[in-house]
Amino acid sequence: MPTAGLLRVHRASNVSDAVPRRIAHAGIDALRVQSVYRSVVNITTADGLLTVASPEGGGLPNGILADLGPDWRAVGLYPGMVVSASDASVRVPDAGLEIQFDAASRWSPRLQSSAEAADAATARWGRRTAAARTIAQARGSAGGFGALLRDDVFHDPVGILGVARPILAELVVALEAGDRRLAAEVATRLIGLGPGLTPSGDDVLVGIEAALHALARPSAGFLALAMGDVEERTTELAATLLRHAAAGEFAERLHTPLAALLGSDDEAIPAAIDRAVAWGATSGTDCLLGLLTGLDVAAGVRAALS
Amino acid sequence: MSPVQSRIFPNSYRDSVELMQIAAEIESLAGIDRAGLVMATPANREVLAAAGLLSEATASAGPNDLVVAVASDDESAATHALERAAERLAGPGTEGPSETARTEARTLAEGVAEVGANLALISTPGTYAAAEALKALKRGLNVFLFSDNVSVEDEIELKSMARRRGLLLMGPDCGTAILDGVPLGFANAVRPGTIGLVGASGTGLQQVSCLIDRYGAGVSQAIGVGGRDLDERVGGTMMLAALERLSADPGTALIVLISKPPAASVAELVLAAASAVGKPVIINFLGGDPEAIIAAGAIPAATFEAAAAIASAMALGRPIPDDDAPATAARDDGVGSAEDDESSIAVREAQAGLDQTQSRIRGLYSGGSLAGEAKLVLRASLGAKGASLHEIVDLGDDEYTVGRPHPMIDPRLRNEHLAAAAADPSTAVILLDVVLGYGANADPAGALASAIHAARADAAREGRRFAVVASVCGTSRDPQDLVAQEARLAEAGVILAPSNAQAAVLAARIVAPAAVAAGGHG
Repeated sequence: MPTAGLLRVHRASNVSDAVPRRIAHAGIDALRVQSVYRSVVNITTADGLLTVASPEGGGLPNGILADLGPDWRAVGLYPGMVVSASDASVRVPDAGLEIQFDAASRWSPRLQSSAEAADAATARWGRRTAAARTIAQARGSAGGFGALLRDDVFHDPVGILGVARPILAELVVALEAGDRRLAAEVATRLIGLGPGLTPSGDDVLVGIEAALHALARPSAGFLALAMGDVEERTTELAATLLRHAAAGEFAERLHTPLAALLGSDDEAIPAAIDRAVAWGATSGTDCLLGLLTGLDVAAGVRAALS
Repeated sequence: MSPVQSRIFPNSYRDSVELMQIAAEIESLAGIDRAGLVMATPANREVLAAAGLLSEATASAGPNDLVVAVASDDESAATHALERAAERLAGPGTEGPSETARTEARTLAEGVAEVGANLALISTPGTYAAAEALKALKRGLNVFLFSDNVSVEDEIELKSMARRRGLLLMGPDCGTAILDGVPLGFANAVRPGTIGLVGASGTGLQQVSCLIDRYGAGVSQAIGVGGRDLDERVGGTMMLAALERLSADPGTALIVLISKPPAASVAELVLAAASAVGKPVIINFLGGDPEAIIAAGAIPAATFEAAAAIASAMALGRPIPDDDAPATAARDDGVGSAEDDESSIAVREAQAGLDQTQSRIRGLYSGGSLAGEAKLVLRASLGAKGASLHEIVDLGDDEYTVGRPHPMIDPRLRNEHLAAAAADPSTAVILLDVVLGYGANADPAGALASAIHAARADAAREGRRFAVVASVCGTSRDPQDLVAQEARLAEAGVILAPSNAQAAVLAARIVAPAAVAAGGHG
């Protein structure tokens, strides 16, 4: 095994504001590699997952961005390895690896919103929602909850879509009424529902919360009321991202399409939707479904779902 | 309700794309009624329970555990499906080092240094593909760029660099190639020979190479250049480079070029290069004008089948068939063409099963170029107005495949559309392509046959019948075996044609025999 003296040092390019906070809160011991993918490593902490990812996917609320090579499964990292962390770096001694983030640019996962700008954006959204939904229908994934963007559901062998559709419609009604407590109760039924490592229901909820947050709507923050025992109800990764969303912190891949969907340039929307749906197998489309639903709620547009 | 078998994979952290692929695979296995593959969160466990897919064993699983459940009346099929899922989940992924770990090159640098590679096959998501291709070109590697969603600006830059360095950049979205006998992407096991192919069309290249094999000739090289290569912005850079390579290749006696009609300026460049190549060149610009091709001293071919028939005849020293009658070449195993008595009987039988309201052809294609060829053949057979009544859909198009496996890999999408088309009372003929070869589904005919049986049973309950016409693009040496796949379809009552063009002609004959006999322009 490589020793600490032979560490390969990688310098991170970007680190979320929330990462040092997480490390400080969770402590620096008893961290372990949870999972390793081609360009992502998840590390278990006492306060949710810490994610190291390649820069192409953009900033993550729980993330450090670094380039560890073309295939991270081939750099000697394995689940269960002990990790040590400080406010400047993350080390995996058994893999001979250190990722330094003290010189990385700091990125804030918090979505900025101002009521004034939000009013203009909301009015614009009312005019463009139908066109955006049409583009999303054509380009979104048919897997996950993407089929709920359309009226036709071809493939639902287990019946998950049949369960999700009425819950989502119920959530829209609660949010439109500005009833955050009722919305939270309904949201708990979507948590952990659906396929994928971050179940589709969780991705949709993150998207809805992001939209409401960006437009400074009174119902923003409903998700915080639904967190309770979230770790018991969904996967570790999804629970981490839901908790960040409940705190108003979102991945850059949600910031970017939101900026385009609410911006002044109509022509930027197709490309933004393309980028949004390109994330994961179904997560991108599921988050987009959430964004569109949340924006419709904020703009008072009755979604096709309800 | 069918009995359920299930299995838990504790703390299984596979990414969503992989989970989706595994779910699709086990669901399409023979004998499986339904399958679920989800993280065992309380919400998902409830849904599985309601669907009758939750067993006692899985009821206690936690949210970080993966549960795989299958319902089947066939116990051994269910066991096999779970074993298959376990195999896939035990494959390379997040596991620690294994004793049998292979020392494969993991970076471009290792590939060049350890293997002496001269080509990189790149199949990363489009966002990263251009950067990887650029690295490969800088290391002096030819590139087979399987990835799609690469911008045209990146394509132009990559191809310019490749040209300057004397390298090939095949793609982006390059579906197939056969280089020195090595198949890349979706390619077929075709006989080696003296015909060199260059194509801006994935399934077009596959169809031509398979028909060449069927006619008894063989392929020296098949070079895919990506669907946009002959776009004005890209300028046919790689078709010109490939033409130069084949011109200099002593193993290539004649050359076939395949593409949609190029931009006029690009056509001029390609035709000029073809006239200077010093070897016979057959050109199939699908739906393009043959006059310019003839003027350049090359031989036009209206369809993929015509291109293959002309090239094979030339390679084998046989008389060149008339391009207007491409459906006459018999395959080397003695099976006749669509014009023989057997097909006429099949057409009459199909017509006898239709009522007055059934008039439409519904083409459900997995290959985009094959769908394009079918549209062209229908226009030639039925006239533009007649052809416009029918629908040919390319289910491999991005519109249908974002987030889903391509229908050449996963039959579910097409089966869903097949059921919908069969339920439409106006449907007379369902027209299909079945593409075999490396990378394609292990048993596409089997998957289709089950869907056809189910759709026919549904239609029969409403007192309707419909015809299914198909061609199989493949060879008897393909992993799926052409003969076995055709037999499976024939058992399911599918009317088979030896080529896609002939399948489209057969479909047209079923719905409009008078128009076809009159040449379609009435």
